[in-house]
Amino acid sequence: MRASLSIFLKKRSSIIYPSGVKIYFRLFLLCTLFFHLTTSKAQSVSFALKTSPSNSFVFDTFDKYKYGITQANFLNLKVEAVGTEWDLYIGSSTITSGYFDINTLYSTSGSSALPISILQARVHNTSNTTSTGTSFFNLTDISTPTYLIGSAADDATITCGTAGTNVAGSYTTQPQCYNFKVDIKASPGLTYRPGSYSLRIDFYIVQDL
Amino acid sequence: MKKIFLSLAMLAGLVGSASAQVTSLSDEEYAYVTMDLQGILNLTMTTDPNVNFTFKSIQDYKNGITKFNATKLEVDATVAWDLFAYAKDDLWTSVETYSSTGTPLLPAEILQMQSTNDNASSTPIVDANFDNFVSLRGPSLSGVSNGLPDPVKTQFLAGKVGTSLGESYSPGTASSNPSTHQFRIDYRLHPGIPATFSTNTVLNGGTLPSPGFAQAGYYYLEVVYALVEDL
Repeated sequence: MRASLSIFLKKRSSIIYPSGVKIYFRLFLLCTLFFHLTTSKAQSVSFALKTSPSNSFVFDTFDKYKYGITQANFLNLKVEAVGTEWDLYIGSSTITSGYFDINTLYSTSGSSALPISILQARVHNTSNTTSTGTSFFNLTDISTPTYLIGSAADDATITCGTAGTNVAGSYTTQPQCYNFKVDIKASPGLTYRPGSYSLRIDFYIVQDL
Repeated sequence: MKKIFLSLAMLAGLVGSASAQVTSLSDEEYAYVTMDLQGILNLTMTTDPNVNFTFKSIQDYKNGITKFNATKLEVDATVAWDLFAYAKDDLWTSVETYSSTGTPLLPAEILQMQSTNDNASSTPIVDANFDNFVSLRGPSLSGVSNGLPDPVKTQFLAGKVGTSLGESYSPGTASSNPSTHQFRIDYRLHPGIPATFSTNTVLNGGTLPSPGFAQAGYYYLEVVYALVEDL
């Protein structure tokens, strides 16, 4: 825009303009200036290189039931935030809020109301800039998500290098702050009905407002 | 010229608006999780599966022989479960005979069993559990058919036929629940003199087939312990 503006600002002394042209020229300048002023600095938040993984936890031995199953690096979140602070939160989506969806049941005994809280997540990066620490936390429904960075309110600025970085940045330049590894752990115990269950885990990055 | 500048102004405006960058103020990533909970039932015998009774003295015949804690069973289950027992055959299998008199047709019921853990589920008849020494029933008397128990006749160490509350045992492991998921079985044989096994329930109303006492010999019997999901 500036390049095109400079072209039109350049006066050619060899050309004599009629008086009416000045009005239109000023109008043109006004329009371009208007668009320049109203076009703010670019803002965006996004996850780069999305993979949308699909993982299965199979409990077929007592040790798995007893100790749970952990999948490290289940997902990698690569954050790109341009020109704005941001929040990051996680929650699960199911048909019945708070409970796994039932695909099929293998038995008639036991409860089939499998709570999503048996699934735990741990989100961390090399700078440990995570608000949730390095411990697993229980998943919740997306209607009451867990904030990994920031909160539902307008947050104070936290620069890279401090836990909970929420300023603009990119995983390509500062992976220690903008590249998150997600581990998932499932510990159903022995009280639920054998069967196949599923859910979707949602990760959201939004502008901090 | 006016038209030229007006056109240029409009073009600049369009270019300006077109070059304004689109902002994405949110984004999402999804991960899909499937959980496969498989039902597991494990019955483990932690003792020697062979239990031997040798009757070689008058005292042995007269007083009988009792083997305490001869069999130890451990149950690990991820579903509600029942545990029952029965003899594989109605009669003991004669391997070798040591005499020419007496009958080799010994009913399974001459073997008595007792569990150290009382069955928490009340059974329909008294000897349908092993809370005290009772004769172990063969397939005919136990009513077991195709591996499935009879609601009245089958003898249960834990649970009973039925899925109502209190009619099965809860999921769990033997190590975490020793009082409910571990069983120690005592066996008893009491021949008497002559070896009529008169203290036990037998097929034909309490007496052995003619001549009414057991033939000396070597016999064996298989005891079946069946762990099933709550039925």
